[in-house]
Formats: sequence, structure tokens, C-alpha cells
Amino acid sequence: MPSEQSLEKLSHQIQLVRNEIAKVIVGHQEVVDGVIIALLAGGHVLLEGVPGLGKTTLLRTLGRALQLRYSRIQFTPDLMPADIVGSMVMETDDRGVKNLRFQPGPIFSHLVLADEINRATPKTQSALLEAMQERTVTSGTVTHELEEPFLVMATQNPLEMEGTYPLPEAQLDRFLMKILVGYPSRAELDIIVQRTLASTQPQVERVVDRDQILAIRRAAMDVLAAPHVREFASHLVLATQPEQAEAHPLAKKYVRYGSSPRGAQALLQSARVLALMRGRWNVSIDDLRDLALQCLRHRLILNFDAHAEGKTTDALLTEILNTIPVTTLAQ
Amino acid sequence: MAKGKCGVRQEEAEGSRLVVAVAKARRRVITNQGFREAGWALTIALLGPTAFLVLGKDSFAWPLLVIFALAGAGLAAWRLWKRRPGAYEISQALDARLATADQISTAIYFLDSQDPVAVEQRRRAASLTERIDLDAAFPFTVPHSLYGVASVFLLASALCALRYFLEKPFRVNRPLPEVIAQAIRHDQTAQEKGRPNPPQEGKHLPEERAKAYATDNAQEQNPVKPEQAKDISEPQASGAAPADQKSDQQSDEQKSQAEQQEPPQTSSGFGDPMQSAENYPIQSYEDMLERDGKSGADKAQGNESKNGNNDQNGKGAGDPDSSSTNSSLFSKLKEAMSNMLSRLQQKSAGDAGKQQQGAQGDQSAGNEPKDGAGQANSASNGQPKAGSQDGAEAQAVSSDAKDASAQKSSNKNTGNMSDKGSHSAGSGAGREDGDKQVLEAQQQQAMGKLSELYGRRAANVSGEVTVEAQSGKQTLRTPQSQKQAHHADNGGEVSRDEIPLAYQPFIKEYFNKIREAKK
Repeated sequence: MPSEQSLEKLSHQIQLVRNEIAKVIVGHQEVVDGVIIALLAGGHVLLEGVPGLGKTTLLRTLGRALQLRYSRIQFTPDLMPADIVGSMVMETDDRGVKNLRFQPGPIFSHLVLADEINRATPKTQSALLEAMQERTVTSGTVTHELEEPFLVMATQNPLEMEGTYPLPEAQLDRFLMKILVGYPSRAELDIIVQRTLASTQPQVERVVDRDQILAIRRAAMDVLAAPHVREFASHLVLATQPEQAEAHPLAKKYVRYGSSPRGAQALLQSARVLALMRGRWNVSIDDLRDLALQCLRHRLILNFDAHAEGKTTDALLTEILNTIPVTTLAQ
Repeated sequence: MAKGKCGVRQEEAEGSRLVVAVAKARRRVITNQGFREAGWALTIALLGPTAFLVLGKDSFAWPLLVIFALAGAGLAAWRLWKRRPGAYEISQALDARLATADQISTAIYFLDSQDPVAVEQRRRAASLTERIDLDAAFPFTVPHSLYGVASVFLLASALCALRYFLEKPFRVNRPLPEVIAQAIRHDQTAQEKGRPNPPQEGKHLPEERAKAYATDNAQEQNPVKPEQAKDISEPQASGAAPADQKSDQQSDEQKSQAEQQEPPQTSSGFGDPMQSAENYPIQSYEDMLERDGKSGADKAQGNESKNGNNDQNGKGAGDPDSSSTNSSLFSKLKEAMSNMLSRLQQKSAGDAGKQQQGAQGDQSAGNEPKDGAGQANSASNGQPKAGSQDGAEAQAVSSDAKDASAQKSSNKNTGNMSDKGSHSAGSGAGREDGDKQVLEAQQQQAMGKLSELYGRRAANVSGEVTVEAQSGKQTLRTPQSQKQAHHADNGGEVSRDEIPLAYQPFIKEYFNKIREAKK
């Protein structure tokens, strides 16, 4: 039974994780919170940013702080699906009988870092689809279940597009969030440089274990969402679909494909965790507003006019967010 | 068990605290809405008296005021009932205004839920309601509908003031547009009176009027038929006047020209006719009409006889003692005569030119051509005989009649000249501009027919056309010659929205460069 004490405890545990990550990662609080939310909401996160911004370091630090298994896959054009999910290997037992045994791949971890995911071929990328959505891996005729919590944190470099295979929409939609990793500010950069010159590296302690993570996830599933909050999420998603009657004029003009219903699901799941992190048992519209960009920006595909006029999904979503009606009386 | 009961009681207490807070906020919201709707009801109710002030008692019955008031109250009650907010909506508004992150609205929605999370959330929301300030969330505000009330009230006040200004004892019998129109007519009459007239003319005007009325009455007692009057004036119209009459006529023309050259008197449109009217008595209805037509603007507009009488009284310029019976009778006579003359003018408008030509042809035995006014008079008389009657026949009329007609024609010509110079005739009977309009209309109609004929002829023009072609290279043009091969035929069709991903960065960069160049 949740109580005031339990809510405070859950919030405190999440805050501990944030503090441990902050020992290594300077700034990027939005990125850190996004990764934690994706982990607690049971989703996956796609980080996009230039090299050297700490994406890999973030995930490694998270794995240490959460006492979870962590693996890293460097995606290259010659990477094969079996390199990710595992393969059948010949094994001889004590009696000399040879058997085929499934050797799990690096995906059988709690936290999987798919580094530069857009450099692998679509065949390899699609190997992640089943694991990300179904939380299972099928090898031959045997289906193996992945252990919870399972988080795929993929990164991609927006600069080098040659020799890359951009993620298809079907795979993009499976990511709960797409977080843009930007450059640190001057103050943050000073701290980064100072820590680099320091003789000792910060030690990350394991503050939360797997069971506590699962407990927080279950608690997040109980967070209440009133009808008007749910309607806000629905309106927001419908407003991005140009063929809908409720579509925003900008969406009709610049959007080629709007958000799928999975976008509304992702928005509400993420908002539940965020509400819990903020010490509430209910989702508010402000939670949805704060997470709308991260949850929907990769689900919108802009048309040629938008590219020609320099429109971005973030700008469009911000415009749409400002026009979604909340309640008549409040207005 | 006791704990459970205690917990349930505590939950009920927390829920009731929440409900009480929301109900309090709801009362404030409904009160504000009530003020607003009452303002609109008052606005609608005030529209009744406003419409009453515009339309007047004759067109707007008193019970309609009650209907307006009832309609406003009913509409306000219906809107208030329809728009009354529920507890959930109020709680949403509370959350939005107090930035409580939708905690109160969620608690209100899950008020009946016994889920532990819902109970815990409700407890937190109830504790939150103790800290919120309902006065800050829903303050009593001045409704915008009061602006509507104020504006309608100002409009009604302005209408009251306007009515009082227009008709000094405040009356609401007649419609306001009618009152305004009458006031405008009064203003025009006053302006006409205010033109620079010699003071002695104003003094002589009633006497002159009295003379005219006396003549009119005398003619009523001894009525002269219009035909007889025209017969009397026929010799002048037909140009058979003797030489002494011509000399008189010339002298009158010179007089009138001299009068027109005098600026202070001829500049005013009323001075000359009045002076000339003093010079000769009214000897026919036509003369009378011409005099009265100079100032009778209302008669031409076809106003009521009452208004016409008012105008005549107003034109009296300080002549309130003139008898209203005489004036009404006089105005009726004028109207009858004007109608009759206008009909005659319409009938004989086409023959007027012929009559004048015939009369001038008959005058070829040494008679000088008559002035325009005389010709116009002959045309206005409209008798066909006048055109065909020669001078000898006109001389067959008795000499007394000749003398009388000569005297009349001399005076009348002078009067007509002054009439034309003034252009102040108000009635169609006294003016001769109507002839020009009719003629212009007929000319335009004839022109239309002519152009139609020309158009028809142009449509039927037929002939031969010779086209010279230069010698040179001839190219055969067929429907297929304009067709070009599509890009898709070569397997290169590219959808507009589908840019290869590999090229998207270059395209973005290209457009960024274009935008930067524009900046």
C-alpha cells in the first residue's frame, strides 16, 4: 500500500541515482532524467549527439549506480544479428557428446548500449526489434526471454551520414524517447576540464538494486491520470496527424506522417514516472508538456516543405503544444 | 476493525474537505457567471426601450418592452443553467489557476475510488486545499457584459436627448427616422430662408401672397378654364403678337437682363421672382403656379399636404396669421394643376419641337423670333392648334383679347426669364427642366436602339478574308507534337516529398545558405 512514506522513499531512491550519475556526468540533467524515466517506464531511449558528449559514459555510470548488468555493442556495417542476440555453438559434454548450446549475445543484459546504431545494416538493426518490443530473443526455434529491467540506449551521430543506415520508422517508433544531447555550457565545461585534470576519478556507488528498480516501476504503474490529462495527450497526438480533422494547421502544412498511438502511450508512461520523481501520485498536464518533445520528436516525419523552410519537429511540437486546449473554464 | 472505521472516517473527512473547497469555488464561479448573465439580460431588456425610442409609440407597442425584459431574463437563466460548471471542471480550473499540478482535479475524479493510491492522492489533495486561497483563484470580477449594459444605456440616453432636441416637448409617438427627416426638411427650409434676401422682400412677401390668394379666390369665384387661359396666351405663343408687343417684350428682356447683371439681387434665387411678382398681378393659374413653384420644394417631392402646408407656413417667414384654409385649398389647386400640366407636357413633349418650328415658319412674314421662354411656354401649353395656327388666325381673335394677351405676355415673358435664371422651381409644374429630362431619356433610348441595330448588323457582317502565308519552313503541328516524355518513363521519377536520406544534409545546407543569403 502506498503511503506518504513510500512515495518519499521512491522519490529519494530516484534522487540517489541522479546524484550518483551527476558525479560523473556534468550537466545534461535532461538527458539523465530522460534515461532514468525510460528505464523506469520500461522503454528505450535514443540519444542523438555528436561524439564526445558523454553518451557512453552516461550509460556506463547508470549501470554502475543501479547494480545492473551492462553491455555495449559497437554497431558497424559488418555487424551481424547473431553478434547481438547470440548464436548456437557446438559444445561437448563430459561424456563426449556434442550438443548445440545457445550462447547469449550482449543483448542479454539489463542495460544495452547500442553505440552508433545507424552504422549497422538494417538486417542487424532489425535484430533489435523483437528484443526491444517483445523483450524476447528467438534463436532457431527457441525463444529466450530477456530479464527485466531491460533498457536499450542507442546513440547515433547526426553528422556523418555517409555509410550509415538511418533507422527505419518502425524501429524509431519503438524508442520511448529521443533525447538530443547538446554541448555543455561554459560552467559545465570548466567542471569537466577540472575533473579531467584531477588525479582521482569519482567513484560511483551502487545505490539502487534491481528489485528496487522494479518496485519503483510498479509504483509508477499505479500513478493516476485524470481524464482531462489523458485527453490532453490524445489531443496532442491527434494534432500532429495531418490527415485528422483535429490536426494543427502547421501539421497539415509541414508534417508528412504524424505520431502513432504509441506516442500517446509513451507520453503517459513517461509522465507517470516523472510525476513519481516529482513526488506526486497523479500525472499533470505539465508533466506531459515537459516530456512531449522527447516522446514525440522522433515519431513525426516532416515533408519537403518543412525541410525547405528549415522547420524542425521541435519547433512544430512547441507550436502545437501551445494551442492544445486544456479546459474551458481555466482559459 | 476500529482502525478500519477510523481510516474510513478520516478518508470521508478528507473527501468532504475536498468537496467543500471545490463547492465553495464553484459558488464563486457561478456567482460570477450570474453577474455576467444578468448583465446580458439587462442589456437585452434595455434594447426594448431603445427600440421603443427609435420606432415610437405608433410602431412599438408597450407590451413588447415586457417581452424584451422576459426574453433577456429567460436567456440569461438558460445560459446560466447550461454553462454551470461541474465540480470536476471547477477543480481543473483551480489546478490551472493555483498551479497545483492537477492534484485537486484528479482527487475529485477519483473521489469514490478506494484504491490505496487514489486514497493517498486524495489525502494529499485535501491537505493542499487547506493552503489554497479561493479568493485569489476566483475573485469576484466585473463582468464584461456591463460594457454592453453601459453602451445600450448610453444609446438609449442619446436617443432620448435626440428626441427631446428634435421635438421640444418629449414625445415618442412617431418613429425617430420620420422625426429626423422632418427636422432636416425644416433645416433646409430655414437655410433657404436664411439666404441673403433684402429685408423689404420679406416684408412684402405676405402681402404678395395675400394678393395671389385673393386673385386665386377671385378666379375660383369666376373660374377661368385652363384652355381659355391658353387661348388667351396663344397669340403670344404662336408668335402673332403685334409690333408694340414686340417692343414691350424687348424692353422686358432688357429689363430682365439688367436685373440679372445686378449682383445683389440676381444672385439670390428668390429676389427676382418676388420683385417681378410685385410688378404684375396673377392672371392665370399658370402664373400662379410659376410663382409658387419657385419656392415649393415639397410639392415636387410629393409630400403630404400637411407638410406642404407647414412648408408654406414656414415660407411665410413670419406670416403666422395667414389662413390655413386658404393655403390648403390653394395647395390642392396647385397640385391638381401641376398634375394636369405634367400630363399635358408628357403628351405634347414630342410635338413641342414641331409646334415651335411651325410657329416660326408662320412668323416668316416679318415676325421676329421669339425668346426661349416664349417658345417653352408654347410648348408647355401643349395645344396642337398652336402649332398649326398661323398669324392671321391669331389676329382673328378680338382686339381686347389681343391687348390683354400682349400685356400678359410681356409680363409673363419677364417672369419666365427670371424663372429660368433662378432655377429654383420646386415643383414639376412650375419647372420646365422636366422637358429636358424627358427628351434626354428619349434620346438615350433612341441611341440604345441605334447601337442595338449597329450591333446586329455587325454580327451579321460577312465577307471574304485573305490570309497571306510567308514562304518558308512549315512545321506540322499535331496534338502529339506538344507532348514530351515524362521523367518517369526513364525510370527517374522522384516524389516531391521523398528526398534520399543521403542527400538531405546537402539539401538542408543548400537551403540554409539560401536563407542566410536572404538575411
